[in-house]
Amino acid sequence: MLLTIRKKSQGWVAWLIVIIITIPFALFGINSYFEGAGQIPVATVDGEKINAQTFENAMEQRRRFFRAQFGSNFDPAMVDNPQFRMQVVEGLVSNRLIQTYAQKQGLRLSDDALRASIVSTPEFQLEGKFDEDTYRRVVSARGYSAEGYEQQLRLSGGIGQLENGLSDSALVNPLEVDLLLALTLQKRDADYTVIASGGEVQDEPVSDEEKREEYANNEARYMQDDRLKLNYVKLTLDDIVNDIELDEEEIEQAYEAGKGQYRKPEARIASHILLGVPRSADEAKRSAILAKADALVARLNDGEDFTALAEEFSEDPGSKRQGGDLGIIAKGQMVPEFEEAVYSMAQGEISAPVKTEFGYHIIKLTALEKESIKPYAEVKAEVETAEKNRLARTQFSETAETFRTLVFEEPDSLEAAAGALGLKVQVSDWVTQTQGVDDFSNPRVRAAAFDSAVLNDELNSEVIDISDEVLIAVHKNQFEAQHVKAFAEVEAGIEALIQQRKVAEKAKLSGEALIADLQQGTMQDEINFDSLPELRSEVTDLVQRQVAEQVFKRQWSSGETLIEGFSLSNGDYAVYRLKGVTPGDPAMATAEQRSQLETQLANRDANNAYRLFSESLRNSADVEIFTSALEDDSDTVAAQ
Amino acid sequence: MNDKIDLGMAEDEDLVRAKAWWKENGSSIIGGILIGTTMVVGYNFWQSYQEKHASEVAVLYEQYIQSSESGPALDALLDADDKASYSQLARMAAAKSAMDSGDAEQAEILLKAVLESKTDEGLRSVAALRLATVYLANDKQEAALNLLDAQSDKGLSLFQARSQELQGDIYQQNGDSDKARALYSSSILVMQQLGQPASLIQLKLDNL
Repeated sequence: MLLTIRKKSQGWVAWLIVIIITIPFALFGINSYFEGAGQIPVATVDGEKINAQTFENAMEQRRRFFRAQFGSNFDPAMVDNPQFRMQVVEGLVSNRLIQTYAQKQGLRLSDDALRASIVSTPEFQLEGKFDEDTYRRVVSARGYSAEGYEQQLRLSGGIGQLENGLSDSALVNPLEVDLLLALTLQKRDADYTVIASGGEVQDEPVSDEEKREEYANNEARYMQDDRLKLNYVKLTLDDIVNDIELDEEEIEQAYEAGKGQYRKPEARIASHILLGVPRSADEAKRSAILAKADALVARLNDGEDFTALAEEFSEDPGSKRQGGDLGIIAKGQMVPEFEEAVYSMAQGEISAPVKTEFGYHIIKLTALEKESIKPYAEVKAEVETAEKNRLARTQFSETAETFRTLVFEEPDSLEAAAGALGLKVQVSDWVTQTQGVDDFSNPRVRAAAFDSAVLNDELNSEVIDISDEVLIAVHKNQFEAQHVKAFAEVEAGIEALIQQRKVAEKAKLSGEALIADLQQGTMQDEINFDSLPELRSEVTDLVQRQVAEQVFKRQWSSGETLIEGFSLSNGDYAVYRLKGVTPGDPAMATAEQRSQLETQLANRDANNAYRLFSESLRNSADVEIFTSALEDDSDTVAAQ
Repeated sequence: MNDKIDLGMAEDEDLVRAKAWWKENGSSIIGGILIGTTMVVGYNFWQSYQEKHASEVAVLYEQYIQSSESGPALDALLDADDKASYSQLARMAAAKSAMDSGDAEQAEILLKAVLESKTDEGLRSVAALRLATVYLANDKQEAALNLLDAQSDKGLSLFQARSQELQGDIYQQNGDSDKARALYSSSILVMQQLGQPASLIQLKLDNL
């Protein structure tokens, strides 16, 4: 081999070898030879890896998002399940593809646009102006060099241009708008009647064979999922609050220290006389009313009784009978002009006419109580509770720490933790992975209960915060694997089910008989039909919605009356008569309806364009996703 | 002594041989290095040229997007590089403006240009659906059907679903309810598989 190379390395082969050696350096630089290969990829996109760290970061971001959305109802299984993980990887792949595309196609922000974008970013500004030092500091705090950040921004700007370019050029076919408007405005003349399930459900006889047959044929329906009974210890803030005793002196001290909180706010009590001004009133009418108001003010100032005049002249039906009394005027309760007047008046003062959207108000401030601090006697109970809570909270975090430590250090039973804290070990009802009552309605508690450490290794769970006032730890008491429930256990349910079916079947039969009668015109009794709203968009309740769904699907030809029926979701039977169809006229649509639909269609096209583009990139790329790497991730998450 | 002489002889021989080898191959090696260097320099030069060109095109695109007088800005962009993705995005934007001002013919020309450009499949698929929409708005059903037919084998499920809906619209308008029904139904099916809303298609289907 070497010999051949040596011989051939004379002449053209020598040239070739040197060229071949040079090329990689020119293309990739020397870096490629030194880059580590240690990272495990979750996927490769055209040979480029998406490593596990990137994936885990994306997952963590989702977890944080969901936790923020769902609060204490957050269930880790929402995020840590195979489908979701797959979705996240697909998202990363799609991002990578678009990035590569933008890079290859030279999509980027121009220097000017880049500068404009950086200069206008608030984080990089000092006193409202771009500041070079601030910029460098903020960027390096995010782990970029200025150059690296600008490169990144350039590229993401380019991707933004692509997205906007695809969505801003969305087209709407005006004919489609007309078609859809015509369909939404289409009117159908129909009425319907509901035939309630025939007879009382519990009167239906059900034979033993029927029940056995249902049971035997539908095992899946009568399956009991894996379930657990759990020992649990619960530590609540209330437990601690109840243990705290305060003597008189302590309560008084707490009152003195926190006096500021026990304020009685300023209270202004006012009466008014309203002279209404209709919206349509012209200037002349308006000033006539104002003149009348002025005259009333003059009479009041001459000493006439406010209540009497209010009863006589006020046009506010709510208050006139009380002599115009409105009670306490809290802030934000009245229109601003009114409130402003009330809050600038002295006690007993009568205002000049105040103009608001309702008309002219003459206001009297009948009482003014200054803000004050409530006396001790009045708030003693309140202070006591607040103080107990405050003390309990401090104590709670300490106790919680002890609780966590004991649960962790004595993992074979909860007795130690319970004993030390004076709590009881309680036993739960059955809990499945998806269902539980009380504290076990919290998905995080269930997830902990079915965690392998608790389920298989029979260890204590960790302490779970149901809220910041309730902590719980669980330990396996009894486990029952998935099985078909015993016949006796489900017999009553089966009976009810079959009864319901029979009753629905009866309703159907009488409905069908009614249809036949109606069609042949051999009706004996008068049946009450309710009319269905003509427009599908005006349909309200569940029954109407189901009827409309059928009615608006039927083909109808002029002159006929269609009489048909179907079973409703609750087992009742609906019979409807379709008597006419009036095609919608797009010209009758309001401007708002039209523009709404146009926007909807434009958004749809924009959305489709972007998805289509992504799908196309995905199709022509060589993507490999390593599902095993994803599963590994779930294990490490569960173990954490 | 002999040893020494031998050694000297050997050195001399090696030298002579090396010289002879160099005489024979030297020019090849120098040539190789020269060509290699030229290629590296050339490649770098080419790359920086590409980079500069791409920057120019990006600037022209920004100018087009921001310009109020879009005609000349579009021409400038297309003159600079009518194969760039930017140019296709600009053409699609221009097609929308043309449609907004009622000039369906112009929109057709622009979208056709995207379709015929050698740009990527993604942009071409988007342009194809939009061109079909323009045809329909302009009452050119035949042209729309031919276009969708010619583009049918892309293997893109979203394209297929949208294409079926558009075809359904055509058959529905021509009173061929059976065909329209089949097309709408299959479009809904694909949309649902993709997790995309299909209520408008359902509305059209219900009416048939």
